[in-house]
Amino acid sequence: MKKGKKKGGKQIPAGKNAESSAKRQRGGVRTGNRTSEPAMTQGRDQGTGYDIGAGMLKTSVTSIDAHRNRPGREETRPQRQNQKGRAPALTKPAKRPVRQPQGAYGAAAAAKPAERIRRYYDFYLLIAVVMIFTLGLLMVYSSSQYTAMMDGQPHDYYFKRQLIIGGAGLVIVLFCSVFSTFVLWAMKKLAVVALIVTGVLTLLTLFLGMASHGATRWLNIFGISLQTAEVGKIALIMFMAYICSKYGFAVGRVRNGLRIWGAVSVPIVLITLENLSSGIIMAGICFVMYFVACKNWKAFVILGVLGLLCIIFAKPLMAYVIDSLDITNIDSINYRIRRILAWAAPDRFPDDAYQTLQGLYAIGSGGLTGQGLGESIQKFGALPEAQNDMIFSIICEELGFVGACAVVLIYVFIIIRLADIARYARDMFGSMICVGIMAHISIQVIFNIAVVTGAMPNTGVTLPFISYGGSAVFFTMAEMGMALAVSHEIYTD
Amino acid sequence: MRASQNINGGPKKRKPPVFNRVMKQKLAVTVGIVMLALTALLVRAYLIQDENNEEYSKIVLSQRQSEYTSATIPYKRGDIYDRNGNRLATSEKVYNLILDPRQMADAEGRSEDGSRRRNVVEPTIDALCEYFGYDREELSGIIADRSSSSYVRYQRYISYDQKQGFEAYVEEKNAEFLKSENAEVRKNQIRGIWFEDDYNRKYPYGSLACNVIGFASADGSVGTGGVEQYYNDQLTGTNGREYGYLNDEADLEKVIKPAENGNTLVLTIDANIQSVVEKYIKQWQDGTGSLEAAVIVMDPNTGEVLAMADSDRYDLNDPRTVEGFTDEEIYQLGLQECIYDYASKNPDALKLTKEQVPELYQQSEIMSLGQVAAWNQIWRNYCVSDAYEPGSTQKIFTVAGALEEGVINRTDTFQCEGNLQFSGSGHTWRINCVNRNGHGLLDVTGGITNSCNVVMMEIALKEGEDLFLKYEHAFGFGEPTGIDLPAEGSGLGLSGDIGRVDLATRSFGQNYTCTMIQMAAAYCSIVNGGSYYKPHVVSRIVDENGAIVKDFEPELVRETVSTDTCDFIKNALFETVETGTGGAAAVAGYHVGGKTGTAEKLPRADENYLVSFCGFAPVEDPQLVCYVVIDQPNLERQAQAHSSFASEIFSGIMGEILPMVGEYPAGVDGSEYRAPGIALPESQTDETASEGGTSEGAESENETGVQEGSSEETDGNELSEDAEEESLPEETSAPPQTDEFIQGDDGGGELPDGLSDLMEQQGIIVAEPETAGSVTEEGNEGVTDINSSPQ
Repeated sequence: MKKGKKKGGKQIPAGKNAESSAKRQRGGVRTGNRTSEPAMTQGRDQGTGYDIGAGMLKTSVTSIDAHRNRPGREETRPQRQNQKGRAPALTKPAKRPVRQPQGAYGAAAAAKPAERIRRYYDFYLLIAVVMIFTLGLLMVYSSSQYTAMMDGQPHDYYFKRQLIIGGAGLVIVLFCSVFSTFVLWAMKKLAVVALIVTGVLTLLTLFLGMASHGATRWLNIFGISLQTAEVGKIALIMFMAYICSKYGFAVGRVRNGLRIWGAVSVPIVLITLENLSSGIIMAGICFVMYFVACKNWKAFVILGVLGLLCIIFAKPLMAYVIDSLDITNIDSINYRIRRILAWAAPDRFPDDAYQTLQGLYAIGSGGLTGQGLGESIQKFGALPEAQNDMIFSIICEELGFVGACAVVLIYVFIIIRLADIARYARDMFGSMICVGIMAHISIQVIFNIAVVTGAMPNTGVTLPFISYGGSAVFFTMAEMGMALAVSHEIYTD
Repeated sequence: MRASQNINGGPKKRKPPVFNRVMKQKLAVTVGIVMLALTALLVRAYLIQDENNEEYSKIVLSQRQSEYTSATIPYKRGDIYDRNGNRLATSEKVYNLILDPRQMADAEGRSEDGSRRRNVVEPTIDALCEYFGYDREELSGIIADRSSSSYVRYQRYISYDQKQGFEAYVEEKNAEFLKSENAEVRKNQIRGIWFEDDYNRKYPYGSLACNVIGFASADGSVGTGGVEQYYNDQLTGTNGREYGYLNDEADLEKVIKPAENGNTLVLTIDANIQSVVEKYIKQWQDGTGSLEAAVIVMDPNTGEVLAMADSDRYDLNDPRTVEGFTDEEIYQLGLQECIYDYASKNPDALKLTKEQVPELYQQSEIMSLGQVAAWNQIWRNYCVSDAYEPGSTQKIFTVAGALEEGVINRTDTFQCEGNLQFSGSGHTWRINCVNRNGHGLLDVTGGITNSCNVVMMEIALKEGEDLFLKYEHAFGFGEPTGIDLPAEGSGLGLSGDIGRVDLATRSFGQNYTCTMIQMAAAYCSIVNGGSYYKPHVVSRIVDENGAIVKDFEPELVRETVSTDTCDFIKNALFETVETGTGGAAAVAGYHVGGKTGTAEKLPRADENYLVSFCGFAPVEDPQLVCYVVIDQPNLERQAQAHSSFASEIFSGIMGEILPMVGEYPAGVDGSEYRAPGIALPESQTDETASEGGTSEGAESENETGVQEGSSEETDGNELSEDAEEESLPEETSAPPQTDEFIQGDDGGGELPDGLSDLMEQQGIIVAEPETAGSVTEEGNEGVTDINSSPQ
């Protein structure tokens, strides 16, 4: 069978294939310059841009697979051929008639037909999210009260802002849940656009940031400041899910792999330039999604082993490097490198290790059962970013190891729920969306706790749902909405 | 096989578990890895709290506690009021502007990658520059250089209004930032500035009574000069503290121990009288002027000092700005100080000469020592610290002592021949009276009114040194009065054995020194009927709530002489102003008594004079004693010797201040006044004088006395030159209006210049060489009869 497949791939003339891939790549990257290069327009119209245009004209009934059967898509023939046989099956499920009324997404409920379709909805996930957000709200209030007052704000300044943002996030969650079909359809259609928009936004931020002294991670759109990295994460998840579901197992092919990574690396690199940790997280999300989507094991095992070795030997290696270096002027070292060095040798870089050390003091003084809610001492100025990156250490200090375990358990529950939704999702796109979200949540939780416990250099990663931070909270909530939308598309019969 | 699923998975195509088995496996693996990682991290968290719980708890608590330990609440230094409740010194609550660069850096974000969480430094500097007008570059420099410091005191003494204004401004600005449309602006925040409580010492009257009040150091803990120094313990309080401690449940409790503020002083000084006094001193200094002019006004009935001033004044708010010294003068003072400094450090070495100083001391050292010396000159309280030869004002004590002991009678008369001669060891000393021709026959009162040296010498010689010294001490000479001001002098020359010549000269106030406060207090005891009260400038110490901590009642030190004697002296003093040498001191509308003094300063050859007047009013019920001293008027030689300079100042001051103490001018005819118990009409003076016989006897006694005493003279060689024909032509050009006169020998060095040196050679103190006499003889026409000069 392998042979046959390979054969099928080889049947396509190499030249044509290369040309089409080149077109796609160009199209993907250059969409923003469309008007300036009319010569390219036609090619692009037949490429990615066409897809979107066509999608917009069609109703939601059309699945991705249906697209592939449309004429005028010669350049994607290899993929189409691969899935040609499968396509009819996918577009012809038993419940096809049932989906029809939902095509009028807005009127989905009203136009429900007499046939009863039992839809699944993951209330457990919703409850878990609301729970952890509420706990986070409590912790944000506890840890930010002092800082807020020191900043000349009312004591509940951070609490209120978090509450408002979280409330807005919940509205999005409910919207996604109710209009799940539409939302998923829109996401599918907008996946590529989202990635391009992210790239543009990132570039914009970069340039604007340069224009006004120093780099910035924020973009102010109509008075709403937006952290582009957070937008980027969602866009990447959407894009990866879209592309994986489109390519299917073919994502594992070297050529496809290169295309995918080529596409995602643009925003990732751009974001990494200004925000290393977000870049790493985004790369991590893509990696996990790619890993899940690929059928190949070997390469990932090798990568995994290499990664493990890195983790194990990073610290001793860093310690060696520091010892061999003659560090005279600490300030001359780049702050990112300094943070890594400080992680390996806190005593040599007291200023950079300060925050981590204070976080460890908080965890240590919390003990098993903690000082009690609101009884943290470190939040009184000693621990910078108490309500933000370092909130987990305040949780440890106030609620103790037991409380920390409880928080981690909620995360574990959320991760397992996301994995479950991914397993039972109606289509590949939905699954991959959930995988991406799961990867996002997992990576952030792990990174954040690792930083707080000193297992990793300080990177400034927030704890999802709990840490204070407008963009992050809103977009994590939006991700949950997406996952719940996917769960709502599952039929239980 | 996996690939086959794609192509051949027929059933899978139909039933779309799109997410196939491999994906599920991989997802499971992913979830498993995540779980493993989370477990590992939880284990790590467990180990951290398990291993370090106690240690980290301690660190956390100590960090927390340390934030509180440094908070000091400053005490308020006590105020100083005058007797009428005018605030002469006060501590204003002010605020110090403290920068906290560390907080600014922290707030901006620990990582200086340009992506700051907030912009703090720039907005903060903007705000400071805009509101206070500070130098931007300096501020940025400080904030950058001391970014690890949390306490940089940038400006002291910001008023409450300024502080409030700035805080409101910051609040408004920050609110503005938060509302801004621009995300960059929204990140702006002004912070890292706070205000520390402090107090600033203020002297609302500037230089008024500067020598009595003194000034406090910037932190209010040390006073320099005046009551600020003397009562420093009372004025200072104890700093309070704000601190945290950990209670039984290891909760931090904030405790405030309030500051104990200093006590308030209420002075006996009357700001009105003080300003009048200072006005007259200034008038005098602006006119003729002198090396030093000083006035003390006292209440004779209590010993309270109502005013005390000298001509060296300085602004208490800015005591270190010294005017009137050129760099050269400061340099010269510095040279002198260096010589003293060298001598004290190297007691065995030879005394440095001024030329050697620059070799051993740097220019800056000399200048700084000179600056200090200049300050000390200005800050010095002449009235209590400087001793001088008082001159004729002493005479009443000579008389009072003799009368009290019955050595003389009130009616005794003395013959004044113009001088008195003392001879011994072959040297003859002639001590002149103010009137070289002699006053003729004088009674005791006449001796005072005419300020006759001969009468005084004869009385003193009759009295003998023991009795003389006994009364000098009774009147408080030779020892500090104990006034509550720092650096009080005691005067010299009134202890140990003294010879007859010394005794004779001391009887009219030469050859010993006293301080102004000694003289004023002694006069008070005569004026109030014989009670010597300790002079003082503080009447009450009250705490910050107004409760009296200490009340200074008039402290009676001793009874000096009987009331009768006092009445006699007072009458004589009244006569002195009415008819005698003190005529210039008369105050229209009052009966005034007082005594002039014109002392010749050491070295005698320089012919510098210190003129003074000590008087009281009203005579009927004395309320005020005022003592005026003018040290070395800016005139040539004997032209200085006009006691009327002082008398006129006295008159002017008294005329203004008597109404202030409730004594209003009455009928101007003073002749009706007679001191109680004594009836000595003016005409009687002449009668007494004509009685005369006893005084001659006394005179002869005195002469023999001097001869006896001459054995004490050790350096008689020089003094033996009888009738040395040394003329002093200046005398003729400037006929002095003096009431006493000691002609010094300027032959060079025979007469020691410093009184301390004199004291070392007990007994040689007053040696009047006959050369002086010769001058007098030759220049008789130049010496005006004192009686004729006063009006």
